[in-house]
Amino acid sequence: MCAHKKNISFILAVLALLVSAMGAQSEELTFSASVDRTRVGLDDYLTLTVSVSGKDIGGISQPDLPSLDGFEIVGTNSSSSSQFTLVNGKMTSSKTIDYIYTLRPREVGKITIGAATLKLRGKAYKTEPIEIEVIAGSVSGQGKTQPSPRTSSPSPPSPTENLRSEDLFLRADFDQKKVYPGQQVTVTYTLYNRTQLANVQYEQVPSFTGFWAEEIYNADRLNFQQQVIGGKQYQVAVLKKLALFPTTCGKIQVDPMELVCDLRLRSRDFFDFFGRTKRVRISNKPVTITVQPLPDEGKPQGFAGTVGRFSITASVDQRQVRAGEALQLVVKIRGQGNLKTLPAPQLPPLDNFKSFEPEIQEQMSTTGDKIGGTKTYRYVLIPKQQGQFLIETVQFSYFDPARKAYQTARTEPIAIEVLPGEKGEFPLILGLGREEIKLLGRDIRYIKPSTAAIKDEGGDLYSNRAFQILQIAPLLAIFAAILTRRRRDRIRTDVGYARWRGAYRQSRQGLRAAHRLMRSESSARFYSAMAKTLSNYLGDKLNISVGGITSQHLRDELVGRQMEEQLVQQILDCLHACDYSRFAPASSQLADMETMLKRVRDLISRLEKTGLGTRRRNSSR
Amino acid sequence: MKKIALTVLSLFLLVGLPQRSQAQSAAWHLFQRANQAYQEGQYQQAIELYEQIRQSGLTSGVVLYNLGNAYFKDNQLGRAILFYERARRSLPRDQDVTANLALAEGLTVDKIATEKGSLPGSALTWLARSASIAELTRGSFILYLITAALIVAGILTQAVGLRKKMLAFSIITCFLLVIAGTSLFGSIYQQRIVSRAVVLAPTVDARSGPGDEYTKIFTVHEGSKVRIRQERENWYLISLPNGLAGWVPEQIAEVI
Repeated sequence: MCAHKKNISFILAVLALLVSAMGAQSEELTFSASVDRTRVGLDDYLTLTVSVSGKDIGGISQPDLPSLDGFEIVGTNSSSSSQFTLVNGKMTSSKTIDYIYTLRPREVGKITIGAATLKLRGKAYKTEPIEIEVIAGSVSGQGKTQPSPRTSSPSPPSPTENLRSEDLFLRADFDQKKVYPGQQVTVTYTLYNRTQLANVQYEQVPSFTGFWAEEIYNADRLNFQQQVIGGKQYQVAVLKKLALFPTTCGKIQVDPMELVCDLRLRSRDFFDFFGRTKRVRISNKPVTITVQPLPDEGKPQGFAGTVGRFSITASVDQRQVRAGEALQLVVKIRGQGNLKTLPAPQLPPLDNFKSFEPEIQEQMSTTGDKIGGTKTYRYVLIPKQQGQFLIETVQFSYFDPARKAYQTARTEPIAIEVLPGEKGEFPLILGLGREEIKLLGRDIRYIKPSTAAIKDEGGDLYSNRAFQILQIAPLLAIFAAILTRRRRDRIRTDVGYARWRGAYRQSRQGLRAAHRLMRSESSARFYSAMAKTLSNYLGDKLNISVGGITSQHLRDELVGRQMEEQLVQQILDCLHACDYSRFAPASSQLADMETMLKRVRDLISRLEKTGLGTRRRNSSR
Repeated sequence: MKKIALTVLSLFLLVGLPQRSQAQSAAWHLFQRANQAYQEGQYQQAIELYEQIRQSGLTSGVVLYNLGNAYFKDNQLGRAILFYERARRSLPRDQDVTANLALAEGLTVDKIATEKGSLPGSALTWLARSASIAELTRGSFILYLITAALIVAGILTQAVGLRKKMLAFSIITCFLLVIAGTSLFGSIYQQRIVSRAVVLAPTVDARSGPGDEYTKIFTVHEGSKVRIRQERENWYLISLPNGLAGWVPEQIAEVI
């Protein structure tokens, strides 16, 4: 059971750890405060380190310290370290800045260091408060004494003994005191000693306001060397060496450095091996540096305030490249000077390339106390089109303090041959390479050979008189169609009209038949046909039945239609004559028959002209 | 009935069919020579020869187009535009004509808004733009004949179903006829009745009256297209699409 419980608590602990680790990872900024010890004596020093780390914290402001009422701030310092990682061509940088405060407690008791706060991009960060226990005297052997160098563990202070200043002193040596802004001033802090030195601590390190300070050397242990000065032998140790780059003009005072030294006193007691020590404070003299402004005379264009001595080179990783493929242009600036403030060189216009922001690398080196090194800018260029191109010279201007003159370093131009892209065109990068078809020149299109005949211009078809008249024809056709249709409908519905319309045609047929009978030697049939034709014609015209029509009846009908008496008589005579000849015993002469035929034909013609039966037609409408 | 139809058909064919004649073959020869001159870069000679064809009373869209090209090459922008415009009337769908006209118009000095067709409706405008008057005339006439034939057949046929179909068809063709006919009349109005002209002189001052003593109102440049409103004593009253109007000497502009 108990083991089981333990297991569960173990799993829970692991889970809690995982969760907290994940939480920490997701945070983009870490802000923490720590002390080197939580229990200090009144005579001791306490180091409070406030550290900020994360990505993109370049322009960060100093965190706000809590009120440190129970302490005296004896020194502040800061250090920073950067870490650059390049993943898939994307550079991420993380930076850690440590603000170090050296504190000395003022009273005995429990003092709480409150939370330090930091504001970044509208977000506030807080550290955990720290509780410090302060006791009287000193806590020895607890933690390490800060800062190094150390020679041995400190001893309690001892009764004072006379100490001459020439036996132990600190010197700050500046290699020059009249400089230009950005020019390096090297300061060396050296400890001269003729005593039994037990321990050395930094009491105060100057803040170097008005300078950009780079540490060249920092002793982690006292490395004494023998040196004779003024007939006296000294133990000499270099504590610190710094390169200072003035950032402003004028007179700048460098604060003194203060050390706390423990001196071993010669023991009177033979058995006291370690003896007693005495604590003394020493400091160097303050120094004033004069910074003179850079001359205006001969200041080249594009000068960005760089002071030192530099050379510049440019190179490409390949001189032949396919369009659309990447090419690396490496610009290296090498020399002496403050590389960290070095601005990126101005690239010449690269119209035929697409260029990206450079990747920057710094390689610091110190040669004979002079800070310098190489700063490398890697530009990725992608050619847009094929051809021969020249990367023009890259210029870099600086002020050389040794020559007291401006200098311009130049690179050699680089010829690049861009081959056509792999897929003919340059589709690798969208929006690049493709171009509109350029109109090189404008001209009219060429003349045409004649395909169609050259026609009579004559005039438009619509203005042709014949054509205009022709427009009536379809209308006429429609009108005719309407009339035809109407007549046909009438024929179909009106028998009387149909008989009237067909009467003349029928009579013509009858006469032709009679004409044929004339030669057939049968005069009876001829006259019979003649009589029939005439009476049928009349019957059709008048729309009456002609079967058993009597001549009296016929006369009444004809007279009733206002026909001339004379014409009526002729018709009756004619019919009569036909009847007579038909039944005559002797066969009639051919001439008589012809006379009769002509007589009937003329009669029908005359009747047709009188418009026989038209009144009836009209009335039947 | 048959006789009428035959007469109509033969008349139509007579009007429509091209006739080969001696004048035509002479024109053909001139045309070949003119093209030859153009090819050799002798544009003025080419112009002369093309103009001879026109003077003989024979012409075609191709001749007008080539003549426009020759004028263009001879740096007579106004005349080039004039002949491209004329060529477009017989070759309304020809891309070369349209392209060259657009290019020539792009070289003119005056930035005048293009004239908008006065025909209502996009279909009518499109038809009037993409068909020549001759084509519209023939098309309308054929539609008219078809409509009339359908009506006649519909009237005369005995079968009731067939008659209804015929008359329904005749309504469709009648509708098409109305569209084609409207386009035709619109085109005739635009091209024959409205008098449009191209400015031929490099710069012309338009005045407030027909005479040099009148006030200058505006200046037009070679190649600009203007409308002629009135003609008096060798002066034209021209108007621009933006409404400006003024008198210019007759010889500086030529009616399209």
